[in-house]
Amino acid sequence: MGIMSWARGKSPWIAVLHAGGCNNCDIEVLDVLTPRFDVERLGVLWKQNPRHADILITNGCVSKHSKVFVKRIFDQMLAPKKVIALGTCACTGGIFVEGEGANIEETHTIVGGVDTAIPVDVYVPGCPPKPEAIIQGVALAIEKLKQSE
Amino acid sequence: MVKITAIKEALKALFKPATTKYPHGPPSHVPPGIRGLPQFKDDNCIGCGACAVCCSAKAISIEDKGKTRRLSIHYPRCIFCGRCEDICPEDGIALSDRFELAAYDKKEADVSIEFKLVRCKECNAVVSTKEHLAKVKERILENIDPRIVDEVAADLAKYENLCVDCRRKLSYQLNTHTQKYYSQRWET
Repeated sequence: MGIMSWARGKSPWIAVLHAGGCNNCDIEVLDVLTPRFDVERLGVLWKQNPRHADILITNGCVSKHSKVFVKRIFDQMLAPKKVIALGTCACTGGIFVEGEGANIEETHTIVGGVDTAIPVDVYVPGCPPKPEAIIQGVALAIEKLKQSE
Repeated sequence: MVKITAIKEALKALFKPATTKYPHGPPSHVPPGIRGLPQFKDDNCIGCGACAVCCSAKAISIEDKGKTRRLSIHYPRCIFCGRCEDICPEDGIALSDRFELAAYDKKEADVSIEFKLVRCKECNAVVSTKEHLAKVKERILENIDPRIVDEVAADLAKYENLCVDCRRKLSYQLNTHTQKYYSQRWET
């Protein structure tokens, strides 16, 4: 672990991307920033610009329309970059896709989870996830960010 | 009431920081009845598959392979609505208070339970699980008219290992057609 990755793990910058869905996970993300849960204790800085960010939090299922934009925003980030899929929709597609259990079939508008468009590092299931679960997801992503060169 | 709790919270925050120490300590507040990961109860579940049918996100799936039935919850797909808990006839599935589900991989993210499957004697189609059939038998004999309990029990023993189609096909051959119960004119 070099000094660069140590420093990166101490202060990851985070951007939030809403790919589609019902906006409930966005509201939970706002809760994480309140004094009660204060994710900035972990050194996180909230940036709404993917070009500055190390970690991208995506929520909502990916539709055929938004798949292109999710991919483009992911490409704008600088390496090393980590992606958190926040919520059930971002993990698998949730109630918006067909198929049973782990077999996910796309419908005429929805492709599925975020992992159909970009590589995902941490999955945080929940509908919406509790703020503590989001903090746990961010902590896991930071651990992974520390290990990357 | 809400105001009183808010004032209490504010007064507490004067002496102790309100921020939780979550990743390095326990979670701040887990309310009773929180909807967490649904889990099967091994003692109560009979493997009927009602939860899989009513699951709104189709997270619960039934897999019949050979002589085993496997019910599994793919929990990255679960929306924690609790319909499975509501519909379960035997209290065999319940939402736990586990909500810290973040993981690096979702391939292995399954909660599952296995049962021995009963297959049809005639055509080898799936009937149901052993526990389910036993429970159905028990319920039928409990709720039926006491005058025909012995007759129905004898008939059930004849066709309990047959699938729905074969039951219908062989009902006259085995003399298990329900018409015979109605044709008995009871003095009421």
